Amino acid sequence: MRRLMLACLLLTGCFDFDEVTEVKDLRVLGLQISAPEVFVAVELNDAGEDEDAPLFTVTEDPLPVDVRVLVVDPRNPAKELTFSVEACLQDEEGRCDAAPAEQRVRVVERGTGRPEVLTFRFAPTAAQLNTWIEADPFQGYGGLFVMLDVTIRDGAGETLRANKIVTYNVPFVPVREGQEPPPPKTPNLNPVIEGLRFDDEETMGDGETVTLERGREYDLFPIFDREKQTETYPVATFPDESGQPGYRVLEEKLQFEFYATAGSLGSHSIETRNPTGEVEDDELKTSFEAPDDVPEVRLWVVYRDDRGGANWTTRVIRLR
Amino acid sequence: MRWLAIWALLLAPCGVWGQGEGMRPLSDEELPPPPPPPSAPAGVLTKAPALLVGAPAPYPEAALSARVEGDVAMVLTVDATGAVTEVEVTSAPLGHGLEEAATAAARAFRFSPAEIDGQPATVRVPFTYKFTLPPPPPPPGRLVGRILDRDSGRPLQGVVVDAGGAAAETDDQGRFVIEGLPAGPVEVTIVGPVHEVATRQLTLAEGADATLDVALEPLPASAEIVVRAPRDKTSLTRRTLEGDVLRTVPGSFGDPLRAIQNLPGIQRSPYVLGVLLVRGSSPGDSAVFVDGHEIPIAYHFLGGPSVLPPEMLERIDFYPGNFSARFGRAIGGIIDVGTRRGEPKKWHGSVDVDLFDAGGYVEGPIGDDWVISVAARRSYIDGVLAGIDAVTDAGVSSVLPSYYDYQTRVDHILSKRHRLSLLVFGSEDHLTLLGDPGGTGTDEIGARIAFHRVKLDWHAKPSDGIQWTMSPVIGADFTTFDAGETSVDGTVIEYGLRFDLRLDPAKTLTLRTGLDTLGRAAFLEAEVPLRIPDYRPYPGTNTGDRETQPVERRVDLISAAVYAEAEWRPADGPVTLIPGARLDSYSWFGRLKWAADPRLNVRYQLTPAWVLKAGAGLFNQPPPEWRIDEEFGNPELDPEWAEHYGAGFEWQIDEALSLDVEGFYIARHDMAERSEDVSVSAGDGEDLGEVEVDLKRFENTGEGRAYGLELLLKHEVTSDFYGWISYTLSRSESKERPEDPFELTLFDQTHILTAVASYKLGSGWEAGARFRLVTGNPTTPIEGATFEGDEGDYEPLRGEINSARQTTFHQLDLRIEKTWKFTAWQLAAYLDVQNVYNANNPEFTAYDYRFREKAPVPGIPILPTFGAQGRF
Repeated sequence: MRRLMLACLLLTGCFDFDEVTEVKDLRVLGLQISAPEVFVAVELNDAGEDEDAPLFTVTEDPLPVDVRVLVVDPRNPAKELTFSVEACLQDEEGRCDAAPAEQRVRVVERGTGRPEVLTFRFAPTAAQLNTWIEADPFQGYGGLFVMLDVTIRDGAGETLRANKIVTYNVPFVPVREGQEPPPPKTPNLNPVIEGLRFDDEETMGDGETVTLERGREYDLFPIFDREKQTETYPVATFPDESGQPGYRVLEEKLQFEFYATAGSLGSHSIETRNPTGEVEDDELKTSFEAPDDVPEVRLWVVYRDDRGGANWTTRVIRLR
Repeated sequence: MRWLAIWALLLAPCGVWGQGEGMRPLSDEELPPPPPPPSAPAGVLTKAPALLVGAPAPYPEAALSARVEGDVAMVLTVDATGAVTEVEVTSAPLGHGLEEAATAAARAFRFSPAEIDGQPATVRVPFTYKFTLPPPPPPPGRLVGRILDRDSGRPLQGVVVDAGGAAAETDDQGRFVIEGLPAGPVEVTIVGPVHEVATRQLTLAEGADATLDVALEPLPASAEIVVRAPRDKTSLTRRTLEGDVLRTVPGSFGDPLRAIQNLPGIQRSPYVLGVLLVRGSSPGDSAVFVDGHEIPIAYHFLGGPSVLPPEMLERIDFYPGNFSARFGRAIGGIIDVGTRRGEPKKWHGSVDVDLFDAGGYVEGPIGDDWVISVAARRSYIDGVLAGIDAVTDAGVSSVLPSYYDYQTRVDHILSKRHRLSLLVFGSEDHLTLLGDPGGTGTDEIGARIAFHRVKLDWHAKPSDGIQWTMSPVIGADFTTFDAGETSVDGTVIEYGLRFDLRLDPAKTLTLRTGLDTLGRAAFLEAEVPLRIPDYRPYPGTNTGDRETQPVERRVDLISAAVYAEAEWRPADGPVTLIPGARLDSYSWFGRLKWAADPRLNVRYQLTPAWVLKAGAGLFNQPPPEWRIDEEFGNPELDPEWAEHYGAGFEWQIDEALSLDVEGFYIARHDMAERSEDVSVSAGDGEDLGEVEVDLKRFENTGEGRAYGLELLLKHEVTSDFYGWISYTLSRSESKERPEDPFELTLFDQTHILTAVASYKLGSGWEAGARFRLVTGNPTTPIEGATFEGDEGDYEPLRGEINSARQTTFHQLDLRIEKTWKFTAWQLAAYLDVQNVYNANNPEFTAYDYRFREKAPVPGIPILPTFGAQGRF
């Protein structure tokens, strides 16, 4: 008996909480940066001249990025929303509240919009990036991670917080003596999938309507080009025992998260790779049990690579 | 017996007194004033004789016996040299040798010569010896009483009652008399052939009879004579449970180490953790020793029983702080478990069965000088649960915990002064989750933790006042975790040697010194995805989802310590000083670290019933092994250390009831905490090839403090009752970095009240109850959450760390036991019901995915457990 209780405790499987997959009210399901990684022009500093100098200095203003926030509210899709955005260095608590004033930048004072997508632009200056580099413990080595802290309010007094990181990086990696030349380093791109498949029925268009049988359970697969969408990329490594930094080549994985206004989803999240290794295409799926008490269901699939790229697709499911 | 013969010189007629002790020359200050003018031949006395050497007259035995006293008046003739040449008794005779004694003493007097007309001359000097009887010595006290069998109530014959060295045996009515006992405190030991040894502290009044009636607890059928090891008196506070209390405390399932958690100084541990929390310290700061050697775990998995069965234990001592210099490598508290020697005369054994496990124990002689004890236990709860769908929502179809432990002790008497004791013991736990735990696609997750130890003790007493123990130990710890392709195998090979020398050069002085060495070679072999990245991951990168990678690490930690300690009672007085010192050295990765710990405890016996006590000292321990690893930790770390201060009193209210109160303050320093200190700097070149990165994963930046008051009102085991009330008032705080504010620790509990009572109802029935009332553990309130776009989940917005609390914990446990005695064996069955009124005691708080909804995770519900034990 004690062991049974323990299992409940450890796995929190004994509480009657809302399922994360079930969208019932105002929620943020995803954020996307038009360019999740931005390369910047830098000038490398020489510690011999100024030992307090940061590792490098950004010399030009980076290209601006556009941000999309997937906000949904099945109760009132037409409600008006206001939002504000601040930028700061990546923070453990996911908020800019505690950042020093010189590291906080007001990006949007008061924006307005409606579900389903809010948008705004982020265009920091080179000077601001250099301020963040100086404050960054790693001084931007391996990437400067700037957090966008979004606050969304509806007219009923409800407030949501969400954040997203924009990565500013240099277009090269160090090469340790004896290492092969690294593969070309290119800015990360948002992943794109081609469609979804319910059992054998494919649906390829975003926003498309799919008709499913009430009460029936379907296997739900993402359809995508795995080779193309799971990019390889070099990252700068810390100095090894010889004291030399170098690089390592990593491969992205994709993670898919499923949300619906009704019905029952099996796994909320699936990944192309888990701790036990690569997940084959025929195993990369969740299940969807179509409800029998509503005529229509809205389904969202939000997917991300694991270095800031994000995207989503949605379907309207009609039940017969 | 001490008395003084008081003698006096009365120089008539002026009545001048002289007084002295023993036969010795008198100093100038002690000399009597000049005598009055003596009678002398014709002429003028120009210088009176002065007494230079006096002598007491021994009080004749005949006069003492006859209680005769009085004055012996004499006239002494002192010649020109100052010698006494004649003594004439002028008073009425007293007899009984008093005149002879006075005369003999007077003849030994020496005067300065008297002078008449300026010339030395013979004079006659009147003297009076005053014989005063010494006060009669206080009549000796007597201790009388009766010794009975606790279960049957019958008188016990042949029981030895020892009161400070004076002993007597009980007669056929169980009565005894010990005469000639001096007044004052005395420890009485009662040893029966088939009963538990009992000790009582008494205070005898002058010349009065003290009565001591004791009901001895029959030994389990498995033991006849329990040889008690000398108890440690060098720590400031020792809290002890022994005998039947170890297995009959309600709510402890008959488990001795659980029983000791009801004493002050130990915080309540959530039921699933089974960890030792002492005076606000972290679980890893306290240690459990078995016969002086530390063991890695005290309890089986998931709130299971302790790894040692009660049958193997002689005693458990708990030291909440300020412990002896013999113990080290811990900055919290100490539990010292003593195993017992088996029965030397005949075979005994027992079998235990309850809902969770079954165990057996057997002991007996295997030759003239050899004794063996063997115990083993195996759980079967995994078999019961194997077919139960436990938590299907979480992907777990079955939870299969299992454990076993074993112990074997062999004792051999080499000679009258040398004996050997070999102890082999160990424990193993498995936990298997079947199904798809965590939805990882893994069919099974398994974990195992095990340890094994072989320990040899060589006890020697080469002569009276000298004894030593040499104790080598070797063992291994194993930790494994398997989940699909992920595996972790941790092995620790441990070897050590203790040498303890005890000298008793005087009744008031005990010296101890020794060597305490321990080597630990920790090996880690793993196939894990959780690699420590050598790069800075992008936000959203889970470094743990990479393909498994082999990890092989080895950490060697060698520790050697010398210690010295004294227990000194200056001038046999009321103060006992216990100074001690311990010098620890640690070696890891080529670094040598030192820590010196001076310690001092003082006890003051204010009255026979009251003791005041105070102590202060330093304590240290090495950082956890993997925090000093070159790759995963920081080998530059220093030992963690703590200051302990305590003061209080002990009051023996009556024979059975005592009160122990102690206030304490503990400051912990240099605790190894995860570091945020990352240093990146450019090199002398103009590209990233010269970058310098300094990652310090752990640093000695943590601090902690705890302070409070502990109270223990204890009723010792008597014929039908034992119980105690313990209360702890405390506060425990810590911080990770010096600049941080102190925050409450995770298990800070302001009030801990525990009441335990057990009563023998007769006819083999015993009933007991335990009630606990404990402040809820601190929690950190969650005031909202942020959706993290790179993770796809929510980051909670935490309020002030540990600024809220769970609701107050309260729980009543009951236990009832019935024992049936047969000719050759006995059977006991018990029902132990935890949380009788099913209080909902939240241990933790669970939240929904976005931290909006929350629900308490309840503690253990009402849980009846039935068990039985047969003994032969």
